[in-house]
Amino acid sequence: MRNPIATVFVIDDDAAIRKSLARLLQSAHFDVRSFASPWEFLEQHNPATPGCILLDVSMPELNGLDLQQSLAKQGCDRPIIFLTGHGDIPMSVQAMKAGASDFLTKPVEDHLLLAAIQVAVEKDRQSRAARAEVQAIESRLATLTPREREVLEQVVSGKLNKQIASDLGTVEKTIKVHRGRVMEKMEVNSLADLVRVAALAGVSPGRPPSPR
Amino acid sequence: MNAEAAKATPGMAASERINRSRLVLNVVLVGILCYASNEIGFAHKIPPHNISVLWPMSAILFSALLVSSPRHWWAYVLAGYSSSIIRDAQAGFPAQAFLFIGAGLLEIVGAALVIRRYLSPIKMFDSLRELALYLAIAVIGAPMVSAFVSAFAGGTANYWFFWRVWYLSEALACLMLAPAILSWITLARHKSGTIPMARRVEGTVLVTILAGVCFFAFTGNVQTGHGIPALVYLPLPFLLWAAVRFGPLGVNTALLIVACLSISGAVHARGPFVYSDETKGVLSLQLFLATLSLPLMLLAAVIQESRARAQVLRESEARFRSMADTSPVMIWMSGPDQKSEYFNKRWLDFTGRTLEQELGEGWIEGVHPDDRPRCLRIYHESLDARKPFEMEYRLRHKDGHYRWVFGCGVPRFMPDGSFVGYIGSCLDIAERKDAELQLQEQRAEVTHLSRVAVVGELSGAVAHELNQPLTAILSNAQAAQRRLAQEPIDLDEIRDILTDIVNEDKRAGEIIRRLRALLKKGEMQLQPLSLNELANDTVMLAHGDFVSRGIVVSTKLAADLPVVRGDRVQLQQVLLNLISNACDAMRDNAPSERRLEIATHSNGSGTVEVAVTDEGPGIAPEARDRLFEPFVTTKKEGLGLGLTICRTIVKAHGGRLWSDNNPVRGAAFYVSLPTLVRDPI
Repeated sequence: MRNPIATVFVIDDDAAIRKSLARLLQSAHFDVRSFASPWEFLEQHNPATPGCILLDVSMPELNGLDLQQSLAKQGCDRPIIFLTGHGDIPMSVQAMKAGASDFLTKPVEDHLLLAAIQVAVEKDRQSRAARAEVQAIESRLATLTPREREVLEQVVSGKLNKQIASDLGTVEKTIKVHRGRVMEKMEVNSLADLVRVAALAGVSPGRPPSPR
Repeated sequence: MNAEAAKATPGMAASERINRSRLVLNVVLVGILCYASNEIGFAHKIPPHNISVLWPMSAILFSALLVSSPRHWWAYVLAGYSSSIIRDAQAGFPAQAFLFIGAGLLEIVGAALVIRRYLSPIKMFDSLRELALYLAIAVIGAPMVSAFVSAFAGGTANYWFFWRVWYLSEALACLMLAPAILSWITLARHKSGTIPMARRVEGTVLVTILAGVCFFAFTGNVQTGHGIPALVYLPLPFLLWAAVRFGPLGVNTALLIVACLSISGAVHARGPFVYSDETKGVLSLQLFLATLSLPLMLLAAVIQESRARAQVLRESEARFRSMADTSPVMIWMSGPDQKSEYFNKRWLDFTGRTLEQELGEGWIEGVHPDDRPRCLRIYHESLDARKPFEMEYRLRHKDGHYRWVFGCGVPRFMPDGSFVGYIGSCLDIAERKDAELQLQEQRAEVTHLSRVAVVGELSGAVAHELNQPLTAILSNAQAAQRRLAQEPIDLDEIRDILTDIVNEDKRAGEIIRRLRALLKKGEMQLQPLSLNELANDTVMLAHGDFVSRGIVVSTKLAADLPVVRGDRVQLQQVLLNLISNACDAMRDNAPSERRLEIATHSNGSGTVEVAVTDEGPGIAPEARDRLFEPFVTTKKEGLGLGLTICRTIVKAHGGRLWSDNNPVRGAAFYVSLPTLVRDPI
């Protein structure tokens, strides 16, 4: 299968258009779910389902920008492709600024539409993957003891074991043991990897403890 | 006139002098004539009783008084009687003389006074009534009265003989001489110089022949066989000739000739009136003359009267013709059979045809073929009902083009109420009509422009509307292409896709069709319209719709609704649209609650209104403001242009379209239109 498993949420008040777009996307092996209005979509929305939104922005009830904001409140950054009858520049600029994945005008050529959807789906996949990694790192971080966490912070700030030991008021050997355990718990093999995952998890370099 | 005034107006003084000298001349002339007639009268008395057949002097003086001013009568009377007075003075003023003068004065002045009071001396013999009055006064009344006075001259023994002699001779003079004199004076005063030569010749010939015939009939010798009594009828044909051809003047003159010659014959003992008893002869002559003149004078008066009437008629006809021919409008007349019998010059100048071509029903050929049926219908319907009519139609001008004319006609009735036909006029209103058409064109232009503006404003929305089906078609078609490239091919899905493509294509076509209808530059055909009629027609048109949708329609149409001017088709479109909207609004109503009302009423202030009321859900507050905006629709399949176009049409008619929710339920749409104000003609 050339396409990753992804769902395209088609939102358009025109049933004929919904149907035709669904057909086209299905022929390209996307999973398609159609909604007559943004409200209908929001009611049934599951942020966990990967995929993107194909939205007709000329619908009177709720425009695409409103929908974007509603999704953001749910903590969902699902990409939206805007589809419009009259793509005027101010509207497209506004949409792109608000984070639209793409902006297409009706009638839309299939390769343009499919390409835009590919991009959006990929973007969604990547963002989901990135989010998943961070979550994994965070769960690993959570297994560290406070002392280990202190050692990690000092390590990512680039200090030597001797320095850390002196700062934390212990011996170098003890620091070495902590460090080995941190590397083990964070499932990394090198200092470089440890620094990268700590950065992804937003671990801030440790400040020197206050002198006793 | 005093001296100062005379100085101030020397012209008047001069004319006064001329009048005075003419008066003197006239008085002297009357004196001489009276003297001569006295001499002739005395010379023509028939012995032995010296009876006069006709006493000319009193007729002469009587005539003179009738044609002169009463201020001068004393002069004429004095001049007239001077010869008698001189003769009586020579005879030593016998008692008889005073009687005769008194009786004569009584008769002449009395008759003249009464006649001047009641009759016109100029036209006295021209009308039957005036002639009868003249005869009663001058021939019967006055001589009789004077005869009573003068008869005293004969004493008691011969009183009635004297009475008869005096009366007959005086009466005959007033009957035969005075009319001739007065007729000639009238002719001299009023018509001299205007008589054509042929008439003069005819008159001379008539007089000559009549004189010859009378001479032959009245002065022949009885003994030699010429005095045959039946010869008295010989002048009759010539007298009739005179009466018919020359009227009162001819008759009066001819009678005078007959009288002169017959009296002359009798005096000289010739002709048919010589009897052994000469009083009998005189009497029969007098009766002959009286019976001859009376019918002839009456005949002449009758002829003159009808001739005068014909003249008046001719004059009035001529006056009408000249008025009609100089009138700036075209005028026609038709008879009771509805066939035209007259067209004035203006009409003939306009059509360039001859009167003969236009008469009867010939004029119809000039009416524009398109207007002919309507024109003839109005014409014949009005004429059948004998009602006035007005209509506008195109009439062919002589240059070959048709020009608009405004025609009207009214029935003509005689004083006795009998119908004699129609008279009508026609006004060339081509210029007014041109202006009207131009205005109409301008209005159509405005309507078109406003429609173009509406469309221009919304071309983006139109594009969107068209984009929808195009988008669906493209996506469907490309989906099909992809499916066809994949194995196995799902033919059922391909079939579904193609069906959808066809449907969407039709939808696009419908949008374009409606758009074209909107853009089309429709000429407004303005005509007087009854909104009631329009409402009824539209309800009939939508009848099928009502039945299939189970809608009950009621109409509340105001009586005596003023007419409006509008385009029937366009206004019907508006009403149909409103009705259709109302029907749509009640789609979800229970069948018993699908009621539609169409009502008309006059606002009195120059507008009439039609209201379409439904019992649907009414207009949502948020939709209300944008209801008439283009492409705003509450319907799934609506284009949103219906009410926009309706409003544009109503605006083009100078009217207003608005809507409101009903107090209880449903909505009402109102169209108000200005009433037709008739153009002043």
